[in-house]
Amino acid sequence: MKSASNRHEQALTAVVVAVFAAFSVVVFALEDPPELPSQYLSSAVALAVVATPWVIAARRMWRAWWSPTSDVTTRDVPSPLLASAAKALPSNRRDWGTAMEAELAHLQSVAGRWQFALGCVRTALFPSLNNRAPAVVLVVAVAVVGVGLAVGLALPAIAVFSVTFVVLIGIAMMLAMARSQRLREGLPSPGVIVVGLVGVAGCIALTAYFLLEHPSSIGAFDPIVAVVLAVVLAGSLWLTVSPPKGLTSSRVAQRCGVGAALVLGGSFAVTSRLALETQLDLDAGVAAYLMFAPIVILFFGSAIAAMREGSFRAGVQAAVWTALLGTLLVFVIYFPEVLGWHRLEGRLLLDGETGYPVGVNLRDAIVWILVWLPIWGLPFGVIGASAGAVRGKSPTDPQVASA
Amino acid sequence: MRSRRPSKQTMAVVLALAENPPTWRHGYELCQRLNLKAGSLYPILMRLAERGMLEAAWEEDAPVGRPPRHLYRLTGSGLAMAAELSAASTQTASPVRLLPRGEAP
Repeated sequence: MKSASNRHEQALTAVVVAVFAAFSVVVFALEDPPELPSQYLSSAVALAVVATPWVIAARRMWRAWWSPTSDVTTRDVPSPLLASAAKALPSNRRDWGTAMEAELAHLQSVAGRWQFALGCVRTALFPSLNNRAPAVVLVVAVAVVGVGLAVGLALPAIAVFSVTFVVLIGIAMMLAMARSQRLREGLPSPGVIVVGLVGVAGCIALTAYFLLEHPSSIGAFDPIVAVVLAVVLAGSLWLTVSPPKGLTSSRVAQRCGVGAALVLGGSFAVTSRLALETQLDLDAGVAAYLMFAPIVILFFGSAIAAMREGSFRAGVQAAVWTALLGTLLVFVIYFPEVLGWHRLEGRLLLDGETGYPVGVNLRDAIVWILVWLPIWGLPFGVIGASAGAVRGKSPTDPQVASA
Repeated sequence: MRSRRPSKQTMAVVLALAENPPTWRHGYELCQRLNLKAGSLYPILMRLAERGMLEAAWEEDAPVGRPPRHLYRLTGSGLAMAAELSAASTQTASPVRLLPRGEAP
């Protein structure tokens, strides 16, 4: 049993490494290739540094939720997969999820179980719209064309972003309508909704303002960067207003997530201000902050949530909320700070280099705040959740068993 | 409200259930019989049930150690729909029938 578990963990490690390797290949394909062989080595080292926390976090989640020795599941993957997807069904269709799970329990062949479970997962996650589909598709299509034309005329630089964002929100709305009662169920706390909505609106408004006021940013806002921004913001909006049930079961986790996100945003602003006022370490920009602060804040925010709830799951929830909301807040704070740094010999906020047009900061903010920060910080939140759950475990706490 | 013609797969499910109306059938059995994937069958069953054409019940004599399955059969209005579909399909050149698993076209 133990060797099988080890094999599963090794396979999981290989999958995580493969994902990061594939990501690196894509980045190399999109960017200019390194000029020196040594740059490949440094890229490999950077890849290892980023992937290692994810490997540790993935193995912790595996042991807690999916391994044969965990309390909550067996080695059979189709059953927990279907059980998780069935939770996405609206309450008026919850019986159907139970029916699918019961049907699966009667199937013997491995291939048949996988095929049946995957079909049911599709049904649960992407329910049909029935006769409302044509109307919704029409509304989304009109919205996409309208927004595309309006924004294309008013601010051409942001047209790709706007159209992508509206398309993604349209798809999300169609899913929400298909689930009909989903939006009313399991809404996150008001704090999460307020910070999330303000964050997304702020990110869009500041990006548009930056593109308008600083034409040098238009060149840095190429279609790939625009699509990345749209995907991240649409995803953030969706998670804020209609998160999966797995993220909303603990109010403590949401409070810890909001609190840690505010600490992340606030400490970022203070770090930038202090550097500007003292004129110390300007050459380093905020790179060191972005490297170390997410580790500490996500680790302790999640550990506190896990410890208070005695639950690994609550800690992971706090980590997700911190990464999501903290990223939005830091992005919003980034732009006002950029202007102060640019006045000092055209410094970039990210790494303090001088002589760059201010517009370069827009691409830095999207790549290093919206993409890098959550990817880097989230696994430390999971590791913190694991540590907190161990410290907060109480034999009498029923949640420990389901952690 | 305008009533839309059901899809070929929906018609096949309705006609299969109408072959022996009193018999309860479970989902995987219908998947196998009609060569439908679960991702296609369950949305059809859900829609039929929500329109009052399908009756569902939990299995009473489930094997020991297994959860009871959901069983389905047509209601009166479901049978009326099946009769209409059957009549319509006999008037067309290609009657509605999905292939059972393993049967060559």
